[in-house]
Amino acid sequence: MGKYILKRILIMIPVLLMVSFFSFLIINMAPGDPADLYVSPDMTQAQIELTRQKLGLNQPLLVRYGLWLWNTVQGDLGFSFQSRIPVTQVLPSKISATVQLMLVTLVFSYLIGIPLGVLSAKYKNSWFDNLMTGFNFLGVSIPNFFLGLGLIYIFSLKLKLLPTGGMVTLGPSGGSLGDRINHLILPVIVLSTFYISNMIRYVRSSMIDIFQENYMRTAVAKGLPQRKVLLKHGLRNSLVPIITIISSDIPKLLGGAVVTEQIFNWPGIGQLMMLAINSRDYPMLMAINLLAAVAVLIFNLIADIMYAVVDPRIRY
Amino acid sequence: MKKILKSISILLLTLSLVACGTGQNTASADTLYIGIMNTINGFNPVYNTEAAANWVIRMMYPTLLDQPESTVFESNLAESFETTDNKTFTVKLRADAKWSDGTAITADDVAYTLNLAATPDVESSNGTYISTLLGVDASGKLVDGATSIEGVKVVSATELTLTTKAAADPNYIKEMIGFNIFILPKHIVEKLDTKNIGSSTLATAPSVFGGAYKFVKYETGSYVQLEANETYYKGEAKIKNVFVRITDGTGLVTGITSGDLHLLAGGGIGTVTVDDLAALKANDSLTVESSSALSTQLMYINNSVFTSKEIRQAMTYAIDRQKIIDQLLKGEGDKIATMFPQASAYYNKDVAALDYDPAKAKELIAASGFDMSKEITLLVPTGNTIRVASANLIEQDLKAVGFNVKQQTYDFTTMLSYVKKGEFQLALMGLSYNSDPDNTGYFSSDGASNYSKVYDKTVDELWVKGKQTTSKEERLPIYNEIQKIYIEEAYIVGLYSAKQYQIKSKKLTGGITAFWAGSLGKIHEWTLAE
Repeated sequence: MGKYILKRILIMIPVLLMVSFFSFLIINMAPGDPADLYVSPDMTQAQIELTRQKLGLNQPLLVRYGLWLWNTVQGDLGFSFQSRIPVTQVLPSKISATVQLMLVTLVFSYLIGIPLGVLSAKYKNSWFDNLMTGFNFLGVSIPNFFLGLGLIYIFSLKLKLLPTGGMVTLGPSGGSLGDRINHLILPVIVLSTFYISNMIRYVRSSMIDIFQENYMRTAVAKGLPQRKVLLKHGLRNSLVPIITIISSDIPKLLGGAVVTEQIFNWPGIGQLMMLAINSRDYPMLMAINLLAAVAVLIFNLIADIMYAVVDPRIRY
Repeated sequence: MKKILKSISILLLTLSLVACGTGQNTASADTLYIGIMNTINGFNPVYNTEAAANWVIRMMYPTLLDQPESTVFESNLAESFETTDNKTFTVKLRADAKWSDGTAITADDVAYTLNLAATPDVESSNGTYISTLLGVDASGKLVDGATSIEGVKVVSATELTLTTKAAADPNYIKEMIGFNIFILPKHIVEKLDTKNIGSSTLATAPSVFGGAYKFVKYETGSYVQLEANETYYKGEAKIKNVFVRITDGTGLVTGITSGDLHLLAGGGIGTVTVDDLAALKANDSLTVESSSALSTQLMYINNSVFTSKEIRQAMTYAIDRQKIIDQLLKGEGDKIATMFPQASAYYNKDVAALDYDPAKAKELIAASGFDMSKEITLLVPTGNTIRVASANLIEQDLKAVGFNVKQQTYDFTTMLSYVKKGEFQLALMGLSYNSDPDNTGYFSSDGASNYSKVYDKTVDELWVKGKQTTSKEERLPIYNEIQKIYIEEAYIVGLYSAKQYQIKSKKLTGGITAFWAGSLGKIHEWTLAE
């Protein structure tokens, strides 16, 4: 197992190199010169050149990639073109904001989605199952921005119960735990609508398959209590496909949160990414890309390890 | 089944408990929340090319003068700013001005700030503003061999003189140097690596200020926190904390409606669409006003592609600008004929514009022999929703007279890269202006932003003459002439100038004004009711 994990970690290095090289290429190939954004139209050519030089844009592409790689290996991700603040200084608070939103969303989604999925499978074709199927359709198809704006309209503008956006109330009155929870409620509901629906669908179909298995019949025949049959024999065996979903959900949340973070003015990675794209902030974009790549690779690895944990038949 | 019902009801109960939370916090009266749309490019007072950053920096650093209205200048750090020959300007500073660390603000700080901008290798957006001074080149950099600007002389701790290369309109110098340049604390900045000032602490985490507010924190892309500067020479600000919250257009509307925001930054950086305006006007807790802005929306014509004057005129005749204003802006805009907006003191309302006349357009096309089957691409940048919608009307209008026009939408940066390279035919773009009518950079042959590729010697000479003439009365006919030529030659199509709005909570006394750029001169006197 240890050897397997080590091997997987070593494989990550060439993968990350390739990801970084190609994203560097693609980002730089996109039309639009960042220097154009950071100069004013009444500047002379000499002034514009000075800015290009300060941003390091006057060098050839491959040299720039080489420099970027060399600095990145040493832990220096460069400075944001836009604010000239070191990327490593901007990222931590953004990551923490997104992780907060993400963790609460995932935990909330799974706590609700998994039990509802199990119940849905157990009472297959009942009114409850039909209700859940209806909810799933709605949850998967309703666009985030629509749901988000709708909730803001109802809860913030009409009922005045919850804030319109942000992570805490800015200023002396903000920052308490209650305040933080208040700001989390709407974005978490918006994000988890999709994940709950998704989870219910997968758990339901996975459980229905498992119910057909011989060992389930054996368990029931043995006279085990229904709960034990359902949770120990049923749910545990249906976890393998679910782990795959979860491990792919987590990196997806970084992406799925872009829209939600925009709507709720959540100061996370998604918002930062939109900003970086619009302002051709290459160093910031590269850092976010790298972060996303690392997250995908790590969660894939974790998923593979988890398979072995839940299913003893899987050995590495 | 009972179990399901039980678990569902527990779930609902938990949800409703969480939702009750602690309710919404109300802001106390010493904290002002301002909504802004553009993100802030850092806080470098030496190099800021973006309106949002510039606006926030203005709260933190002094300028020599205030500019409450387009052509009115008042004393700020400078008690007086006078000239007798329009060439040598005597600037006398307040004796009581202090930086937030207690050090006096002196003429040395002013001279240092100007010299810093002129130092080769120092990236500075002030170059253009000081380029009129004696001893610097067109980029505002020191001429070879010089170590300081010849035209800047410190007389005493509170007095200095500025000398220009040629006589200039005092208002031009007052705006460019007096109002646009933020004065820096020499004793702090000289210790920094000025060659990389953009990434120094001055730009990323400034610590000493001379303006009404001090920088506290910037959460990238999210908000800026400021607090009152107790040493501010005009008096400590009455509102102790300011949060500038960065959000999108929807966020501005929900924020100001819910009371989370007290003021929208206005100008081009914190404004709402005309569709939201009606709802905000109907809201009793808000004041909503509108005024003409120093900005225009233009259709750039690539003059190196469309060399025929008749074809350019035909395009101008073909577009119904009034329809754009009536339908898209719901009347909240001015029709313009050239790049001069109606808010400009140099706008010429007597110059007859080429009005909507499709028949005339067809006539001109027929006479020109232009190949109408040729496909023409109109570049449209995303972002400004009115502009995007106007592109549809423009396309229809141009098609109606026979042009084979196709729209191509890009994000602004992408579009700009094509326009700069001259790889375009038609493009929609907005510009905003200084009060001074000089726009050499955009519209003269060798201007760095001569996107429309106009090379007209007469116009070039007029721009130069305008810049060298010293009074408004004498300058007016020069800029009138430029507007006349632009209409006659139809080098660009002036479309409209959208009104700007001043939207704020009724709790706030103060706030932005019709001349937006000068809105912050009295920010220390603003108050906020409980």
